[in-house]
Amino acid sequence: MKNTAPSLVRSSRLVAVVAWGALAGSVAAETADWNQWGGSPRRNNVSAAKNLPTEWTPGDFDADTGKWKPETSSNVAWVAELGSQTYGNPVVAGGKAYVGTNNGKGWLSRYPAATDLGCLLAFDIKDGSFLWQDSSEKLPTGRVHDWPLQGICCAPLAEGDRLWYVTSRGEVKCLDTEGFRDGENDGPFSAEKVSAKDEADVVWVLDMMKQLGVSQHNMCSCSVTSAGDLLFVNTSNGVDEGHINLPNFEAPSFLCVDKRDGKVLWADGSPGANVLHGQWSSPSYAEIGGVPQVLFGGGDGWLYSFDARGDNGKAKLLWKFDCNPKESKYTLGGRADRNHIIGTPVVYDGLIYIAVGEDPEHGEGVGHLWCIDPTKRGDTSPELAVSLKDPNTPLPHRRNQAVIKEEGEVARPNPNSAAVWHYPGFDANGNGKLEFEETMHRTCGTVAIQDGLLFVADFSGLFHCIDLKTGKPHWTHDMLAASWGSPLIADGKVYIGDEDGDISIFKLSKEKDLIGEINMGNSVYSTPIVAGDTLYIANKSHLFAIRQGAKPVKN
Amino acid sequence: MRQSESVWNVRSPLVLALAATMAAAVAPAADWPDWRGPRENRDLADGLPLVTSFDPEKGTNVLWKNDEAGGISTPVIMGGKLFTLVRHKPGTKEEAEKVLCLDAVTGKKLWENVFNVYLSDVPAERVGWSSVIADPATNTVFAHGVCGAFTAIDAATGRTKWQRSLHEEFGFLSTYGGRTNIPVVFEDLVIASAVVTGWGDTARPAHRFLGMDAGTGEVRWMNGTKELPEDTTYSTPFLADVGGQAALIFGSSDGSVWNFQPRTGKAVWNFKLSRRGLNVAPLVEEGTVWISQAEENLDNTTMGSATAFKAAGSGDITTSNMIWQRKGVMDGRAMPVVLGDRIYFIDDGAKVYAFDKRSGEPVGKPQKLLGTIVRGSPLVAGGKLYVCSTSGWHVLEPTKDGLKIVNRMRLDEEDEVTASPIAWSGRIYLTTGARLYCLAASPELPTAKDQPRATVPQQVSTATRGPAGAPAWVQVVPAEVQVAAGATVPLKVRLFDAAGRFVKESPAEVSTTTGTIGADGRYTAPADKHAAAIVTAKVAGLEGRARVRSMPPLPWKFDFEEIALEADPKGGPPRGEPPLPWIGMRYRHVVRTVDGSKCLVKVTTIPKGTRSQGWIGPISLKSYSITADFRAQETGVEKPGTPQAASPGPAAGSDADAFAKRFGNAAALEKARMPDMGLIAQRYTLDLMGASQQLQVRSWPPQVATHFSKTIPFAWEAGRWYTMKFEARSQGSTAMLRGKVWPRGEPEPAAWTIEAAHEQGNLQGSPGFFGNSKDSEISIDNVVVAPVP
Repeated sequence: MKNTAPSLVRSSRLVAVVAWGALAGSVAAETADWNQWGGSPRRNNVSAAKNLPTEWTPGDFDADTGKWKPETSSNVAWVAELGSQTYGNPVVAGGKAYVGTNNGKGWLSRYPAATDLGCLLAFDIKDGSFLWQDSSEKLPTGRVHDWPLQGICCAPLAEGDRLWYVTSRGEVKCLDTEGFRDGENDGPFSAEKVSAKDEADVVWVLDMMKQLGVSQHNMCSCSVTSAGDLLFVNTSNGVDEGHINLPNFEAPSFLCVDKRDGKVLWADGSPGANVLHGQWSSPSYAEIGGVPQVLFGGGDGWLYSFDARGDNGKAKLLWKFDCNPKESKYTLGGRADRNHIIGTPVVYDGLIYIAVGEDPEHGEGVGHLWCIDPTKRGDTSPELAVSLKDPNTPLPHRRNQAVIKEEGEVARPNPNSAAVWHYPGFDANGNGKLEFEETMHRTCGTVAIQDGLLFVADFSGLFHCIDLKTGKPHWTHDMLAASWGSPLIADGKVYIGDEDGDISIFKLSKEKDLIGEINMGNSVYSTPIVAGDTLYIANKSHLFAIRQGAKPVKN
Repeated sequence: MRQSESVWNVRSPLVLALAATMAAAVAPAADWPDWRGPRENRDLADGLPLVTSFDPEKGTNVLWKNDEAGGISTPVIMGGKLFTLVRHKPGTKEEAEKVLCLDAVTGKKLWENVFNVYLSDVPAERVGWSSVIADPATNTVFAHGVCGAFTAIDAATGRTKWQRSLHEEFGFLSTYGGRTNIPVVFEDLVIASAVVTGWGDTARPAHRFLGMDAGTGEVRWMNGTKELPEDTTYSTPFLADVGGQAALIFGSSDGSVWNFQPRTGKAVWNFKLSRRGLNVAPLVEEGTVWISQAEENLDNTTMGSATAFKAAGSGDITTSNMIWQRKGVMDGRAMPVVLGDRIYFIDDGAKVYAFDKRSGEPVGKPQKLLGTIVRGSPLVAGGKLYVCSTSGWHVLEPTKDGLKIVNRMRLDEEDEVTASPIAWSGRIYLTTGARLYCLAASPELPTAKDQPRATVPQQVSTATRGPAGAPAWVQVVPAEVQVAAGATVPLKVRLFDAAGRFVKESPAEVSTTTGTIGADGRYTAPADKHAAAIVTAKVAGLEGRARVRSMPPLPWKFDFEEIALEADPKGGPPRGEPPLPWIGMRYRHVVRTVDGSKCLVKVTTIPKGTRSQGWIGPISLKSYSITADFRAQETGVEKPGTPQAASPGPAAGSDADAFAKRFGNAAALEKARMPDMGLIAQRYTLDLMGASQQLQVRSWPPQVATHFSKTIPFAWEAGRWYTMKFEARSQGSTAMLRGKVWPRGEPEPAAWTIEAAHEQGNLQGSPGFFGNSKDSEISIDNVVVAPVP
């Protein structure tokens, strides 16, 4: 283990990851891996891959055994069995596919399927054969911290022979991508109970609950990203069972960790007691205007940007942006119009794109999509909350409602606003109100952008195609099913999954052109990805490797 | 007490008189007394035509709207009156739950019956989760309030006939999720259920049912399904005639469908469906049960199933009785409905599946609806299905190979639909979040001749009532009761045959675990002490039992020193059990020696039980104080799992230390793991909160921002004993609450630390304990409950 200061420049032993937009290397090299959520730290779900299929048949599964019947499929290379609920998005790197799921399959003999676990599974992408599993036993505190059967809900980051991810036990873990198959127990962590070839080799663990006082709400989940030796983590810190109190509002929400050993380099707890529910957004990273910025979506509905380098061990806030209207109000368990951030900020062409949402269990509601200029500093929200008694002094942010009109408070425009545009929906028929098909609803999804077009799905099932410059919609499409995922743009097409299990495929165009709708057998809560010439799609229970002309291989 | 007669409200004698007239005029129409309709199957079956479309803005086909009746509960109709369960004064300090009665013809309010929500984690938006049930035989409406307050209300006047507090008296759980079971009425019983953490052999959580005398609330039987279920659930039982036997068929928290005999609570059979709980109300017809679920199946990684099985046999009938099963149908909320030869399931994501009801063969492809969430169940009427998603209205009609959409419409956001539409007298009643719509083309009421198929009797036929066979079951009534120490309880011993039919009352040989049995067979509780007795009645080789808790008058003192400690089989320190008659305390607490004294200890290792409350006395107590010593265990930030660690704080150079130096301090990390611990008096909690370092008086935890509560900053430490005193007294309709906290051993301070008054407050209730101990155990000692002077 190196003992040098952590650096923004990648350690030499790590395989360089080609950031989106880089021109070096062939198309094949650019598209070989999809090593993290969103494909890169900029999180724009776009691939340069070509010749991707728009028609395939997932195939049938035996109703009793659940086994795949390859002869009933087409364009599917292999299918790997996951648990019964899969929210962790697939990642493909170094010839392996990684998926977060639960233990419904019971790959390890020491943990039969009846044992509830968070599972990170590794498969060989040649044939989908199972390699190893990292197992997170359920926390004894139960569903307040670790909801039953939800498994691992995030995507890992994989680089070279290392992989980092957030477990359902509130830990950040670094694993050896080879597991114990290389015959070594990499450390410093060496207390693995079992070192069989199908078990994970843990390199280090940062226990955010035990070491940092974090108390996640229902689930700890964050798809981490990094720059050089720096790893960025949203801790998930949230409310307790009563949904009012944060057991530790002083615990950090955002972390920068030394990727090599798990040491916390800086931390920030800005959302503090204003977290509405949980914090399940994943960070993004980009160098913008010469400043390395890491972007965190907060459980308070604010988007925060920090200097990735920190400031002598402290967090260095660059700007923060309130994504909620100041008068919006949060209420428990129902259809509030105040939201928080679950989607991931996307960095594209020097601007930031983010939408707000809620835990899907809280149902549908109105949302907002923002385009933000990241070069401003300080509070760059579109509005400032002030009291009429002292209209020049912004009020401290208030959790449930930032501006209460009845108490003599108002929202006034912020002269330092970084809002480039705001999409709450668009009154296309000009009748003075936003109808369902004209509304941007709550989303836990992330945008994808290419060719001046932005795509985002919302939890109410609307799929929006937005003009990148104006923030006005070209079209919306009602999928008639909730979407928890995000679109993938590749090969001139846009792929989006939904709760009915349909993958809708659109032409990448400002005219709506639905090319295909393929049902995957059960709900697709995840986002399609591409690595090499293969499309990977996880439904709740299986990972499909889909390739033009593929013949099924045995695993 | 809020639920007293003083608050029932009839607007004016004129309205009442008018309503009575109209009720008489529409008397021929079939009641819709149960949220599922007259035959529990969501099928109107009276042949009256219903509108298929309406316009909420223009008012087309909208006879009237009533905003006060908006919410999430499905209404019922009896005798021309509509009854529903809604929020009372939303967003105010006086917010509560109420049964609202409207004239079903005009929509005018006739009366309301208000009851407080107390000692529940349920947020206000989920108030009215269940539906009321109306009993035409006694003209009574029964409401299972979201916190566990259960009220029998005179349908004519709105007056409370009787009320029980099911969480305080029996340990009914009421959680953030809000899932509340809808009661059913069978003969002279009203039957309610929840996951229960009670006392003695009901201390471990299980989905348990109470069969109560509909006239008095007296408990006739209590029985449950498998212990330690994963979830709380709300599948409404279907009352069916199965092979000549009355059957109470329900989906349970333990993932199985069960059949209990409704008169005795005896389990007949169970059918396993999932490792998670079942929320869907089953449909039972012609000896077949149809039910669905949207959680894990038992044999592979698929989720969700639509299942048909034979309602027959005994014991585990999972394998033997399956007729058909379609895995992957994710209907976890809507009740299935039958129309013709087909059965329809609406999945949670708003798709309609049609199957041949006998073979399970799919009919066409699933029909997608507007919207993405379905919470309510369809209405079947006039050969059509009326189906709402949370954001869409649909009328569907079967075709040769599927369904056609007769009408569909997006609903405004404020018209979010959680309830199920019902129908009566040619009108549809649609409840949305904002209002209740009455939909019909014309305000004219149908005449008797318009209703060729009027009132259809409930499915359980008279055949199930007799003739009775030989006795096979002994029921001792009251089956569960709490009385004063020394009080005498008359017991009725009732015999039932193997089919669950009442045979006769009988003398019996009665014995008890404590207290005495008189020559007349009556039970007398021990005088001057807290006791819990199992009273057993033997008749002709059969046994039945009753359970009786008894408490002396105040004052009480508990120091736990008389409780015997035994070796812990898991290798921990010796442990004993908390007092037997306490509700919700065993299983989550043990008695253990702490600092040289036997204490009540709330342990951290109980799945789903680390945040809990328990009650130690009768609910009739009022104007008293409860005092106890409390100590929060230090956790040691670096040593989770070893709560006895003497030294808190991270090791120098550790990550936590590094973080603490940068971000906060080690004490902050220790503090985050501190528990919340508190006393309950008269349905209020005085909570000494660890992580937030506050002292709070409240009644309804999730509503502290808007409902009554008072919170002050209060610094305290783990590892140190404190004495807490909480006093509640009733003054008129106001509850006065006062609390103080001081380091144990120091003189009691003269001043109260916190004081608050709650108008329209809770004026009675059991003393008890609250604890939230995820990381750090709570020790409790020297408990005193005394009347206030």
